[in-house]
Order: sequence, then structure tokens, then C-alpha cells
Amino acid sequence: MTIDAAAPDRAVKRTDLPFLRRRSKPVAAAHSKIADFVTGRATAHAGQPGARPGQPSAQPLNPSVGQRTAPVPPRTTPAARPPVPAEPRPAPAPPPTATSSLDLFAPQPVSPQPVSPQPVSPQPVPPPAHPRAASGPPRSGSTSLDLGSPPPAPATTQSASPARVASSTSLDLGGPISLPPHAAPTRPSGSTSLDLAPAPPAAPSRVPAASTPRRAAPAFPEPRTQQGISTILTPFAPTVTLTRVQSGVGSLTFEAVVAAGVGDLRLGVAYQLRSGRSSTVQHHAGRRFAPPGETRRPIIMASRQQFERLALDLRQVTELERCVVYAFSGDGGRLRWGGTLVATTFGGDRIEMPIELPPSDAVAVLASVYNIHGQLVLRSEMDLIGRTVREACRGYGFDRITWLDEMSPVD
Amino acid sequence: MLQPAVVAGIGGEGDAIAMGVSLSKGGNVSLTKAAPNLTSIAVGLGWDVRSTSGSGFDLDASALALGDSHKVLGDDYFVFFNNLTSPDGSIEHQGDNLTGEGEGDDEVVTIKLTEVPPQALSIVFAVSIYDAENRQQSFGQVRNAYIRVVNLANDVELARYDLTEDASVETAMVFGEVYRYGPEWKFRAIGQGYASGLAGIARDFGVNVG
Repeated sequence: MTIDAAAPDRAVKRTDLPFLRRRSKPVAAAHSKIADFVTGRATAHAGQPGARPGQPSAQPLNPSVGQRTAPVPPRTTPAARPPVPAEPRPAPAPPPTATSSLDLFAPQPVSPQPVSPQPVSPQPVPPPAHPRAASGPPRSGSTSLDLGSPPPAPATTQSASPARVASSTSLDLGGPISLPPHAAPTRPSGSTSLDLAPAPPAAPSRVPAASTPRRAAPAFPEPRTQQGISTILTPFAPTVTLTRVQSGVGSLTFEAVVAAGVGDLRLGVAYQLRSGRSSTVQHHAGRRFAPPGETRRPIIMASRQQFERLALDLRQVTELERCVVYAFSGDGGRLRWGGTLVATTFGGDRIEMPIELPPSDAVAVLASVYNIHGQLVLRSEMDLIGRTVREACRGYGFDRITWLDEMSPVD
Repeated sequence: MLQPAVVAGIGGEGDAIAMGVSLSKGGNVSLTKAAPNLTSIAVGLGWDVRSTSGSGFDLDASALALGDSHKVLGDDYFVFFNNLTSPDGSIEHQGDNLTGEGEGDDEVVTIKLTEVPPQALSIVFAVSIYDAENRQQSFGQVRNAYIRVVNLANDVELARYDLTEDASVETAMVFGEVYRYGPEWKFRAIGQGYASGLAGIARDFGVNVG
């Protein structure tokens, strides 16, 4: 018989090689849980944490641990949940995904199996603590991997688990599924083992009623400014995203509000335009405009009234790719850093970045501004990064600036 | 023998066949009646500047989709140079002409009328002068400003409004609007000025400028 690589099903069965595990595609039985899982159609079991194949066990572990300590009552809500399962739950080792798909002991079809309609005793019935027979066909259904059932005798569980893992039938994804009928009419609705919330209410964050084992990444709510209240950027919440209107209308000004006791603090900006052109702006050195020499419509302008100040012309924000606001000592002396860098939008929203750094004469990068698809993202950096302006700029990836000396670029 | 000028596309050189209705301030015309199967239009805005101060003039066109109460549907429906399309893609700003030179429309906003959300009752077109206060510029220095609506299917101009009056203090102006009237779309010439620039227009229509 020739070997047809494209048709593995028709390959010759090599019964003479005992070390080969029997492998075949999941039986196309309707509602086969394993089949469902493999094809990604796992039924909706709220919060299926370990349903993803190959997922690190850390995830499934947690729920199981959680389950153990969780009060049992919730577990019993699903009616007809065989309390028998009580078998010591094998703790973490085996893929806990329990419940549905990977619940190797779950009943095969979705239809409620009348089997073992164990009376649902509302209280956590301590399962007859007999260690599960390792390879025995999972009689008690759910049991072993059913983390949901009352966590009794953890000790026995532990011992059971290793044996469990060794059980070939249980983990044999390829073999026919010999799952004991399971009396869990409610099973299909998801509750069992790893179901952190047997009743929908609990564990809301884990409930993607997903029919696939993949969970979408949690949405990251971008921090925005608020009207009337200053947004303070801290190391725990260092960024804020300006809306398109805030990033396009008027100008964005940065002001270093520092006391005289700090020292001779001067601001500068290293910027990069979309064209690639990069340089710095420093009022201290008299280089007040970006691009250099552009006095009519500078993108960035440095000035000093009471405090050092920088203004970004947002009409040209599409030209700006990113910039980094840094501060250094104008007279070379040590600065006792303090004060706040305040950014103000055209509409009056303020973003305050407290400067909390140890006294030093290094150059500190205070904030960065990135133009992400038309929205400016401000990040409070507060980073003492270089002894000189040149090092600080290099440290932030401004490698397209050519330098005259440690402080001034070639313009 | 002179050949008649061919219809030009938006922003192109050459003369368009001026078939469109020329409106006066406050006038309106039904676009749907002028072009029965109208699906997409391009609204072109143009101007010539006569600057005496020597600094460049920069006019920006923007479009706002308004719901009832004449307020913008959402901040995303304020289409301008930093927000070139509305969320549903129905309003698209074609980009920016920084100096205002050249023939043809200076800025164009295309609208797919069939995709405009039903809550949008009108779309207003405004032009503002950038940095007008600092540069001492106003619409008084702008000449030959106009707004015209062109049917994208065949590049035929449907309506046009030439702004004629001198606006000596306005730094922003609403040129016209395209609005729903029952099942059809109409265009109205407005020509109303604002002294507060783009931010003033945005705020007036409910955009959160803060």
C-alpha cells in the first residue's frame, strides 16, 4: 500500500509498533466535547480558563486553587450535579479545564444523561474519599477534574492526581471518548469544574460567553484628560492620550513650574519630524525654533516668561512624529529637582507631571510626546538619563541628530 | 474652432461646465432633484488670498456632521486635518493645501450620502484661518472664496456659492451646509462668520475642544 501523505486516515495501521499511540482524528460525533474543543467550537462555558491548548498551566491553576478555597455552595447550584464527584479533585496537575471540553470525564453528548442522577444534596457532600483509580474508566464522572465540587481531602487528591495523569484514557485525545454518562443536565450550561461562576453572576470578568477557547485581550482604556480637573501623571499611570481635537487645534504648551530653589533649570526639546529631521530646541542656547531657523511657523517654540516654556503648534502636528522634553542645569550646577512640568491644551485641560528626582546634575528627560495616528500620547518619563544633553537624546533613540558638542546639535 | 472645455475633476485644472446652480446667501437647492441617483458628492472649497502682511495664509476646511439641535454627533464627526474621516467613513477630508495657490478647489471633502448615519441631519462646511490673531489675518483678506458641490459619479457641479461680502473681522466662516430634507439632500449657502477661529466653530457646534 502506498503511503499517501495527504490522507493520514488511510495510512496503514502499524499495530506492530506498540510504542505508537493510536491517533486518529476526533470522532465526528455530534457534540463530542473533545471534537468541539479541537475544532475550536467548545461550548460556552463561562470563563474557560484552560481551554486553550497548550496554555501554560498557570492559568488553570489559579482557578482551581480558587475553587478549592471558594465556598462550596455555589457549586451545588447546578441541579443534578452529582455530588459524588466529590472525589478528591486532582489538584492542579492535570489540565483542569474541567467542565466542558477538556473535562475528560464529562458526559459525551450534551444531552443530559440520566445516568447517576445523584440526588443533589445542596451541601457539600464530602466525597467518599477514595482515591481515584488511576486508569479506571472515570466512573464517577466529573469527579477528578471537576474542580468545582467540594474540595475535600486534598491529600487524597494529590495522590490521585499523579495517577490520574498517567491514565491513558483520560488524556487520550485521540481515542474514542469513553466518558461515563454524566448526570449533569446542567453541565452543558457550563458550570462544572473550573467554572468560577457556576451561576453567571460571579466572576464577571471571566465570562466571555465565548464559544471559542480564545479570549480577547482585555481592552485597555486609554487615559484621557478631564475637563476642569488636572490629570496627574504618576509612575503608576504615566500616560495620557489627547483626543484628535486636543491634538490638532491650537497649541500644546509645556511649562516647567519650579521654584527658584531648584536651581537654574532649563528646558529643551528633542524632536523628530515625519521627514526624519531631528534636532533640539533650547531657549537657553538661543535656539528657539523648530525646524531650525523657521521663525514664521515653527512647530516648536521655546520661550521664557516666569518659567521656561515650550509650545507645540498643533496645526502642524501631522509633521511631528515624536518629541522628548528634557531639563538640564543652565549653569552647570547641581539641581535639586522639584516642581512640576505642566502641559496645557488649547481648551485648557492641564496635565501635570510632578518632577520627583534626587538632586543631581544629570540631564533629566521629563516627558515624551508621541504622535500616534493623529492623537498625541504624553508620557511622564522623569528619567535621569545622561550627563549631557547629547547622551540624553541618544538614550531616547534620537540618533539622527548630529552634534556639534555635548549640548548643541549641528543645525 | 474652439472645443468646449471638458469637465474637469475636482481640484483639476481647466474649466468645469458650470451647470450648477449659483446660489446667493441663504439660498438652497435640492441636490437630489438635480441628480436623481446621487450617492456621493465632493464638496470643494476654494479661495484666493490677498495678503498684505507677508506671512503665509493658511486656511483649513473642516466638516461637521450635526444631529438634531444642530450639535455635532460626536467629537469624531468633526472632520478636519487631524481627523480625516468620520467613524463610519462617510465623510472624508481629502487633505490639505497649505498655501492656497494653484487652480481648482483648495480643499475637498467627499461625502458618501448613502453612508451618512441617519442621525446626521446636516453636514456643515467651515473654513478657518490658522493663527489668524497672531498674523492679523481675517476673511477680509480672502478673495474669491467659494463652495461648490460636485456629483462624484459624473463630476458635474450641482451647486455653487460664491462668497462676496467682505468679512473684516471674521477668522472662520461657515460656507454652506448639506442637509436632509425628507428623503432628499439639499445644499444651502450660509456664509456666516465667526471671530473665534476653528476652535470657536468647533465649540459652537458642540465639539469638546478641551
